[in-house]
Amino acid sequence: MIKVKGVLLSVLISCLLFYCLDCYWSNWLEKQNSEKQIWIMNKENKRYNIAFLGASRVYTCIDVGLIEKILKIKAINLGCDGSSLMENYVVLSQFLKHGNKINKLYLQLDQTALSNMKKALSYPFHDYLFLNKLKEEEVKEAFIEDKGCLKYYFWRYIPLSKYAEFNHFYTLNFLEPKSQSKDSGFDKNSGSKLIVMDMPDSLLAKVKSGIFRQDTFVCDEKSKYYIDKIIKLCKSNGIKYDFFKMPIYNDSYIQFHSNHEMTTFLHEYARKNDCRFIDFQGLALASNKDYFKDYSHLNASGAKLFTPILSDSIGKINR
Amino acid sequence: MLFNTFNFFVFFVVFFICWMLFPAKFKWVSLLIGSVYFYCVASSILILVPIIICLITYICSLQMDKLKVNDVLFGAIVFIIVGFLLYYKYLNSFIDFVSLSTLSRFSVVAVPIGISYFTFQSIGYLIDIKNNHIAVERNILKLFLYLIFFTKIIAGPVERAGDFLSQINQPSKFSYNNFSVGIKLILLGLFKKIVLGDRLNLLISPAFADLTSNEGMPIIVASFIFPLQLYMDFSGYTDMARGFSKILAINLTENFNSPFSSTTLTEFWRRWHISLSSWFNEYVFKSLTISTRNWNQFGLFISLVITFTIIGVWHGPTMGYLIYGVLIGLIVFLETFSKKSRKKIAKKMNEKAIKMIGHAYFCLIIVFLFLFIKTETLPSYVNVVKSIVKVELVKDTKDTFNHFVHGYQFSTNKLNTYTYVGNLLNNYNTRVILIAFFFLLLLNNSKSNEFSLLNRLKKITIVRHSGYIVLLLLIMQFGLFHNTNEFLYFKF
Repeated sequence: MIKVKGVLLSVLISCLLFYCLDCYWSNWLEKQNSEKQIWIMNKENKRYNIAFLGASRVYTCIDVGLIEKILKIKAINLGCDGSSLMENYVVLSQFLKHGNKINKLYLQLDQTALSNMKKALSYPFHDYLFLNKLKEEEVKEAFIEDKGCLKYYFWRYIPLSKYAEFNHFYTLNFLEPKSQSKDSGFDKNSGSKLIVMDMPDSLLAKVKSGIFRQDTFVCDEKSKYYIDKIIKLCKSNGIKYDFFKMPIYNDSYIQFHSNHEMTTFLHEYARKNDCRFIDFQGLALASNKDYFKDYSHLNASGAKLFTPILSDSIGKINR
Repeated sequence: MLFNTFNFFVFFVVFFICWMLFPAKFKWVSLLIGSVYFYCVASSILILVPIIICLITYICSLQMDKLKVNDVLFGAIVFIIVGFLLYYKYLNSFIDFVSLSTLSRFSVVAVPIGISYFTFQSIGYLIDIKNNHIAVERNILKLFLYLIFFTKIIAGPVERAGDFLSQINQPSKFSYNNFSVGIKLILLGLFKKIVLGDRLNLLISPAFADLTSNEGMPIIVASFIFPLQLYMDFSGYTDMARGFSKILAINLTENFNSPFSSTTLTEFWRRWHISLSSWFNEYVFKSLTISTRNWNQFGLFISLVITFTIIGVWHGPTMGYLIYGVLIGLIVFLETFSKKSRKKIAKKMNEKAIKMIGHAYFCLIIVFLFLFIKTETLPSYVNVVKSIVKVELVKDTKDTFNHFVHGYQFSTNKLNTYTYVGNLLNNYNTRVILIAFFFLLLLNNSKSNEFSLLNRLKKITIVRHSGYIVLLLLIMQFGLFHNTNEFLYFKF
């Protein structure tokens, strides 16, 4: 009996400790504004004329600060590195839940965004950044979709288990070498992160040799499902929306033989949803390697050149 | 389903509840169902292989019980069982080796999990029956459970039939003591594997990944760390296997006994992978020494080299493993041969000095031998050794002196060396590993001095329990759960 009491006491102390540590990490996570997703979700009661939503092609290739200067409006970059439409939806819904308002949303759609997210992206849903929001309905749905029911409930009800699984992110500060900085380096006003980098010759050679060839276009059902959810969210919050496609380096773009099918699909999809689809692929800058850091991302000088063009389009549409 | 994964955790919890519901006399049935399920999840249709081996073993054992089997016939039976092992484990490599296109249709032979372990256990069982050491098991299902029991199927320990069958033939029930010991073993194993083993792997992998730019010091450091990683990984697995079994009222053999405290390779083999080395000692080495008893020292030499060569090749069909086995055989023979003269010298010297020399000798030997396990093939081994010998101690020391005193620049290679070693010291993983080792030493030093303060403290329940709570917290905070690594010994 004494042994059982001892064990029960140990279990109780463990649970209490786990619960305290769970609270500590939840609290810590909320303060990690250096992570783009957290930065977006921590915004409260802000008003923006326009917002850009998408993955890295939005995050690193649009200078939203420059758009604000040109159009004299308030804008925000909601793009997150390597994110899927599912993650974009979760971030947007959390952003709106915190009393933020947007007049118009520009959603970036392309081959990668419309493909099967698990195949197209290495880590389509950055689950470790949403662990303190497991109770939220949108987050719950995304977690169950990504990790399954069993794991979701395990993480939700066993304190600390969710943070233990990602302890490579939840590291103890005092053990971290001082030289290692965790800052993602994006502009904390606009949310954009421009990258000063030229396309490496090795990558250029790969592009020329045609490794990016893709012949068929199929819009993944899950991607479609999340585009519809984003549209529904916009409608329920009185947000106008348009689709657009960022330019990718022409030499690689022409290797996607299904481009015509994709753009036709997006024009048709936009028409069905009463919005526009603006394709920026035809721009002259798409043929110049000096404006790209890799085959699908503009570098800082590319972004500086592209942003006024984007502003011009936005200005004309909203005039 | 690895022991350190969420899927196994769920499986074991569900299985344990089912096991509790079975009556004491039929608990073994639940173990069998669980083991079959576990095997099917891992190897699906290949469960037919242990089924066939079990049928052969069962039929032969019944016949051996009735009739006296001569050595030739018995050898043929063993050869058939070994044939399965050779076919599944070595055919792919053989085809690669001879490059026969006509055999290419065989080149995708999937390997059933644990084939080495259940074939060894089946052979051991038959030899024990032949030698009248154990009684024949008449229930084929119990024999099958002995071969594929899920906690030991993947990487052992290699259990003796007598020990295992006697346990499942007894009615078993849940006991608090077993449960508590089991949980502690699981925690300790998990700690060794995912906190120490996997993090050590993060330190050494970059060095081995690029031999040309890491030549010299980085490879030397990584080579010295590797035996430790292998030990943490393998003994962690064994601790977990023993822990899960203990909860289910089954005792498995201890596989390690502080192997790195050895001063000779012979002693090391008595402490490392004990179940496998004692199996080879019992069923291979002893038979060989009996056959070669008239050849005196040469007989011993032949027996040792053959036994260790088989152990070497058991790791994999490569020239590297063959040489690994032969070298161990040779060194163990030399140690045995020189035992008396070493004792004479030791008498004249300080005991501590002798021990230190022994440890240093053993360290060097084990680092160079275990590199065969890390590199797997002979060409890779040669490359690693070439990278090691490129270290220029005198020149390096001179360069370092010039760099710090006269401000000379390092060459690119030297700079790389110092970057690696510097990074190693200024690394999150290294700091975690140091904390973890310190904690492991606190947990494990009970054998050193029964009356030390630490051991007296450990006798206080609350201290002991707090220790395990801290262990659990360390596992949660520092264990590598994301992108779980396979256990190194799974491939064998």
